[in-house]
Amino acid sequence: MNKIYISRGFLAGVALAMLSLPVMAQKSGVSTKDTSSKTGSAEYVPGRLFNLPKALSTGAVSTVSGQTLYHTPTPNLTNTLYGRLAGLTVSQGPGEPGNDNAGLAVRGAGSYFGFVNSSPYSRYKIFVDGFEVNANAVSGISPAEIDQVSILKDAASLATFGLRGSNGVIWITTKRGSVGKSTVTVQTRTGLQQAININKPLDSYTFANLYNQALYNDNGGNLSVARYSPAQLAAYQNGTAPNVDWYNQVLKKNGSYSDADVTFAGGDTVTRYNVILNYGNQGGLYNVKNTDNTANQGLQRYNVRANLDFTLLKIVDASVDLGGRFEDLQYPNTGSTGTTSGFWNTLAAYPSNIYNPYADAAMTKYSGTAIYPNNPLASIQALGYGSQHSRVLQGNFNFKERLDDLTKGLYLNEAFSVVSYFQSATSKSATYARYFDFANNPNPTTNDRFSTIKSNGITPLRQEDWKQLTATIGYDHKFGDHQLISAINYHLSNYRGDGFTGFAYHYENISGRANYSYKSRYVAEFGFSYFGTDAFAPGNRWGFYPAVSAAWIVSNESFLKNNSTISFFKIRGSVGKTGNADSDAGLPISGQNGRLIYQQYYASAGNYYLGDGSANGAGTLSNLFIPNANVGAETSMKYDIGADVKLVNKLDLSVDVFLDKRSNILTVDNTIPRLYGSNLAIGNIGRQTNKGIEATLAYSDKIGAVGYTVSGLAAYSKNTVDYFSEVPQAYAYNGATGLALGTPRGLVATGYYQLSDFNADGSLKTGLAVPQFGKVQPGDLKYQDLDNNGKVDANDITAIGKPFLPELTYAFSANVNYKGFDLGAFFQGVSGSSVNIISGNNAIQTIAFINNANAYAIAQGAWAYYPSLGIDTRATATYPRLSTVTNSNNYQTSSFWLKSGDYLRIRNIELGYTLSTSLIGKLGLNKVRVYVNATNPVTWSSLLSDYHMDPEQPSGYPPLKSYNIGLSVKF
Amino acid sequence: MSLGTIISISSCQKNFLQKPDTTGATTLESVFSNRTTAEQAIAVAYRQTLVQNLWNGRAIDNGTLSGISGEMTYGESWATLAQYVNSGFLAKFYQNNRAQSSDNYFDSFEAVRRSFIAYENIDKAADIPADERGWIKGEMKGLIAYRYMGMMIHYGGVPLLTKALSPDDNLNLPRATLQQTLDYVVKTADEATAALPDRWPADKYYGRFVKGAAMAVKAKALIYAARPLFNSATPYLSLGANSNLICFGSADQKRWTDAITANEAVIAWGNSNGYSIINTGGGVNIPNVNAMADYGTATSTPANKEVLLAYKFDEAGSKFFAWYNPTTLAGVNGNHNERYLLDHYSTLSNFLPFYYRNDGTDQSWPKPGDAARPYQDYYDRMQAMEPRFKADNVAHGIDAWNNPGNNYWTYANATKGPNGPGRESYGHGVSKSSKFYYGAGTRYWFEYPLFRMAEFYLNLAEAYNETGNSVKALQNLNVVHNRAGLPSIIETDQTKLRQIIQREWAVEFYNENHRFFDIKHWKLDIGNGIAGGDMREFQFNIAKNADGSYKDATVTANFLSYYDQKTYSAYWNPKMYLDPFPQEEIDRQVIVQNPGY
Repeated sequence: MNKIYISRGFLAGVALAMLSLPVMAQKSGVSTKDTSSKTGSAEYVPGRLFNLPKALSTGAVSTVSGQTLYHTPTPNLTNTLYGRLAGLTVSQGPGEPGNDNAGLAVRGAGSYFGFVNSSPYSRYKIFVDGFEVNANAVSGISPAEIDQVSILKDAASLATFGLRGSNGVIWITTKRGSVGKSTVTVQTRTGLQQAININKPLDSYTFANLYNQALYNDNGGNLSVARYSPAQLAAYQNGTAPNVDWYNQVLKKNGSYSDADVTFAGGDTVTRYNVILNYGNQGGLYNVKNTDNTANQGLQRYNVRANLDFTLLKIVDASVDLGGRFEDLQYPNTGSTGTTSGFWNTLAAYPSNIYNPYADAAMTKYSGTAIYPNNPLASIQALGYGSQHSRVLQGNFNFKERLDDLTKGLYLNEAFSVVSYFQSATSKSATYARYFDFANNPNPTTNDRFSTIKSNGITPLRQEDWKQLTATIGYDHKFGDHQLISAINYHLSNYRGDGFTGFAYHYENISGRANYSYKSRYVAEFGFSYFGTDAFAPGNRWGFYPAVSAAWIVSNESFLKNNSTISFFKIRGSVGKTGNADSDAGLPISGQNGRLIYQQYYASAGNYYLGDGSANGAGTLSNLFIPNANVGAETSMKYDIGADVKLVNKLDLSVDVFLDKRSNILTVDNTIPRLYGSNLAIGNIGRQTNKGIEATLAYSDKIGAVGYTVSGLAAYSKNTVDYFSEVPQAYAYNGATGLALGTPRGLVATGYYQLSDFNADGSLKTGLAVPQFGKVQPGDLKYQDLDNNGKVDANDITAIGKPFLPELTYAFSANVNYKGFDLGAFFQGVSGSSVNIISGNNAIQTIAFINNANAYAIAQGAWAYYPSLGIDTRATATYPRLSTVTNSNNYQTSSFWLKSGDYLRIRNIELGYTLSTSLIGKLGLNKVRVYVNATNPVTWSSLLSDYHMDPEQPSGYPPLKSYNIGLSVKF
Repeated sequence: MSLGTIISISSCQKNFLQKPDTTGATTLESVFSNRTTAEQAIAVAYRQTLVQNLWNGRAIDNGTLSGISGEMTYGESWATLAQYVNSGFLAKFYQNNRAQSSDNYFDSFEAVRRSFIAYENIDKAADIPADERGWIKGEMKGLIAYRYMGMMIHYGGVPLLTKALSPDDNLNLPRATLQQTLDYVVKTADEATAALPDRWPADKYYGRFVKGAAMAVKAKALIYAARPLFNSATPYLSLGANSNLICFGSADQKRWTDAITANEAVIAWGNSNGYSIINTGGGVNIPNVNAMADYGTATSTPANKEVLLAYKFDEAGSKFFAWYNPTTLAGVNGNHNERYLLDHYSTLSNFLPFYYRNDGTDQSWPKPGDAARPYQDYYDRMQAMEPRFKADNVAHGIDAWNNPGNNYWTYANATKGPNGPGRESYGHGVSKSSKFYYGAGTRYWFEYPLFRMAEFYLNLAEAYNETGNSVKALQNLNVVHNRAGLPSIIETDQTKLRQIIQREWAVEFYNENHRFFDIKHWKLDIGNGIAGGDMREFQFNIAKNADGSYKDATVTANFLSYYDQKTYSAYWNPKMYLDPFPQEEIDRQVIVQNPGY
């Protein structure tokens, strides 16, 4: 059935009604102050179209100030957000300069759409100063530029976002000038950065011993097949044979980070300004100098932002916001553009004993073999370097006409925004010849030959611009006990990318909000969006998304008005509909013009060869997915009930309970048999439910001269994938339907096969289920045969852990100040998540020896029984028997390899001292503060303590901790 | 601005939400609007249909059918084939939702769909002359018949499609009976034959379906219909009321005579259209003195006159070639790392005795438990082998016979050395395969023959023998046997001749994806060392240095002696006579699974 089409005429009617009602009522009313343009960190709740006084807000919004975020010295804004906003799940990324985005999710995973193979992050939308931007446009904004960061979570706060709203919105406002004395603020800080954790592989001697044991295992316990002779083992032990710590070879102890900013702010009744210049510099962990031939990973960033407000005429205000950012990234040229992440896999995979970094005594010839060709030291020294240049420019132009003369409280607002993003890369590359034991074998071991460095051309990586236009009619008025704050808005968005982001995206959004309150006790709000998208066929492009919400400010009732305990008490609730039209995200058809599902597309699928004798390639064109003209937007029904309480003017408490019901999720229809000839038929058939609870608490008080604040937050969410047309499963317990998104499924490990499980000929004893992954022997992992059919196979998989998106995020902090001193500590943790330590690149650290793999401490716990060698770990084993050949039985996804990803980190500790005014006043200074700071200094995690793997980034470039000093001066 | 302006902006932006300009791409209409892109849609139908059973047809990711047919070892221990060797066919592959089988069921129907789409839309391409559009419809029918023939051999009866389905059609199509499936293949092949030309006018279209190739589809389908697996009163395992999906329900001699008619027709058509078995140095009952060159040409030279249809593929860097080429050339474009693919992928001693000596007698090879023989014994016996062996294999320590004098094909440049104590004990077999590369020099690619004229002679030999006509059987058999430079076979006892014909199949079509289906459809004693059970390889003793370490195993002079040894066991179960359907398709509860899965 087609969607309900609501004519624009009807909308115009709604808009007129919203305006005319108060206009008529106004005749008897009394005007109030304009509440919509109030800024600063005063008590208001940010929102689309207008902000609201805290008491009148009906929505669920969490907010943090830029000043708070500044406590975390990092070049990436996303890394300042851990635990700061209730309902924002933040997952730390790698610490690699330029590639350190954290994963963000608002209220967990509401929908599986877009998450088929990747993480359930990055589906939210971001608005800066009222206009939508991409994630890459905000990651480099400095907290110094930011007034507030909020997340809009519920139907009330998302009502006007239509198809941009279902996964939450991150709403950012930048600092503006205000009337007052001009000020100049200078802030600077610098520090050392270190890996939180590096899991180093075994030394050569231990490695070789275990390797021999793996070979015994592979040869039926035959002790004569050792690869490393006693003489070799001794050589590893006494240091005459290679025993290389590759991490020591290529890393230095510390990276660095520094930034500095200068802010000029001030203004009078005509002109107000806030101009900020910011510079940041991050140096990576590689032990290599920046020369003509080499580069350490490093990021330099230059930000400038000028927000200017003018009162032009009696009724016209104007503002011009210009923001720009330039980023230069350098990195060793290890093969990928813009990143060295792949190099960390090499680093982790190369055993200590393969060779010394140099093959000759003179240390001029790099070692390298066919199996281990990428000598880690040479990779950073002899391959050249790459550099990447990005720039972002944003310009917002805003005009506001105050039509109080026409009708008190009426205003118009027109705004235009353009964001341009450009990124290019270039590199200087070289190669080197590999040798092994140069003294005895002077020929290179691979085809690579030494080359001097050469410059490569510039490659454009990303080029996009985003033009937006909005026009608003607003009306704010207070008359007697009644107050109305309202606006209606038209938003036109034109996004266009070139190159590999070559799509254009258009949307239109007609939206409005009206907040009505009576005696500051009862508040009702209606919001709506009539949203049009280009993602679907005509007829499915427009949709209507309304929301209603209400609040009761109980503390303003007469029976509580003078209550000394309850300073403030509000109950609020909202219900409404939003949606999602990101039709190209995550489906198997994405990247194949899959955004427009209503069209049939063809793409190349290699060549077929014809011709008489020589082969002539004939290009191919193959139909992609099955078009479906009926598809439309995913819908989200959101319900939220919350309460905000303040007790004895000291304790703030806020609680929200929410429910998000998704339907019409775009989904591959797996009920269609494969004989159809294509499995990519997509329809609005999926459903998911997400629910949760969030609470924040803060208590401030003073004991004598000591002021202190303790605060905490907790956000829990749990989702259920109700229907996603799962490929039919043999048994219900095999499937993912009904589980939380991303719940790992696999075999249930029950221990190890013991000697007693086998007959004399090596076959399993009767009655034991036979694994279908190859022959097993003692020490291999044993699994449950859930269907009791005597076989362990794909029909025995079931849910075995928690989804890796944690269920619970919590944070708590304490701040103390005494005279000029201030001390703060901030903790953040998660629980309810699992990490598969053999999945993806994690396997490099966990699966020992197979395919010339490395070995780590985890392998020392292997099951082994060699009484003649004095080895018997049968009772204590923490790892299956070692092997040098593929042992697919042991490395199936199973509960054995699934570990808790829970952790608690100290995200921040800061000690500061603010110089007394009497001291600095003479120098013309307003405020001077110095501080020392540690970021991520301590982590508690069983994964870290038991397996030396970071719970958030088990592999790759490690996440960072840092130790910093800083100074801020205000003139 | 006012409210009216806002509303009017949005109204005059009617086109704003149309398909944005940078989102354009090729659509169904544009593809079939002209010859250039229509030919690309045809090419994709070829590519996907004919790749069945080949490595990049995704039947088996790493390895080829020869690794589980008893012809060769199974490859690297991590390769997919290792799982087949360990656990046979499964309806559910652990890593994905395909079945662990020798066909990719999903791909089969995708290929059929692509052919139907081209068939149904080609008339939109107005710049292609009408008669040529008729041929194209014929070749699309030919491709559909080809893939259905393949599916019949893999599964028995399968769901029959007669058009590109749309979502509104009834998609719950059950399996057709075996007889219906055969009838559909024959009918579709006949339609293709009627529509196709004898030859495409332009050489650049050489390699597309011609009339004879469609006739070959029918001839092959009918031979498989006549073989004992299907042509029987009782199925290999009972499927109860559904047994007619996997068995005809009667053993009928007429199936052999139908096969004879169809195969004679292919040869007759070939003879009048320039396709024939290549034999430049022999005649009737006269061993071919150019056997090595002729057999080598027939299996290796692109577009030779013995090949009716080939999978033509020349993609630089494709792993496909690395499964066949034992030289460093396998790693195309300097990517030598790919060579490892063939390192554990070599001829088994189980298979070796099928090859004749060059005088047509049997060679005597060591058995497990025999004493090691000197390397010279290996060398001499290898040198005395029939030309087909030498065209197909590189023996340990001997430069490739099929590219003499070419440095790339010297032994030292081509292998890691044989199995043996102190080294890997598995995977290097009795010799490495070098088939498809006769005289190829540095050409890394080859055309995989799908229909070679020799096949129809052996089909006839087999069918005539089953109908009791040993004269005709020998006549056809010796066309192939004499061409290989071997003296005529004169055996007339039906049972003995049957075994001789099957041996000829094995040798002539080594590594050409015939053996795996021949042994199953003939219901041979597969578990007893043919493709299941003990798999054997030669082991070589190598000379040692003074310090006790082994000398270089790629230097012939260091080879001391060799012996035969079991190196692994391969799983076999009678359920594997036919492939399993993917479990997911069974779980949709429309089609019936083959027995045993």
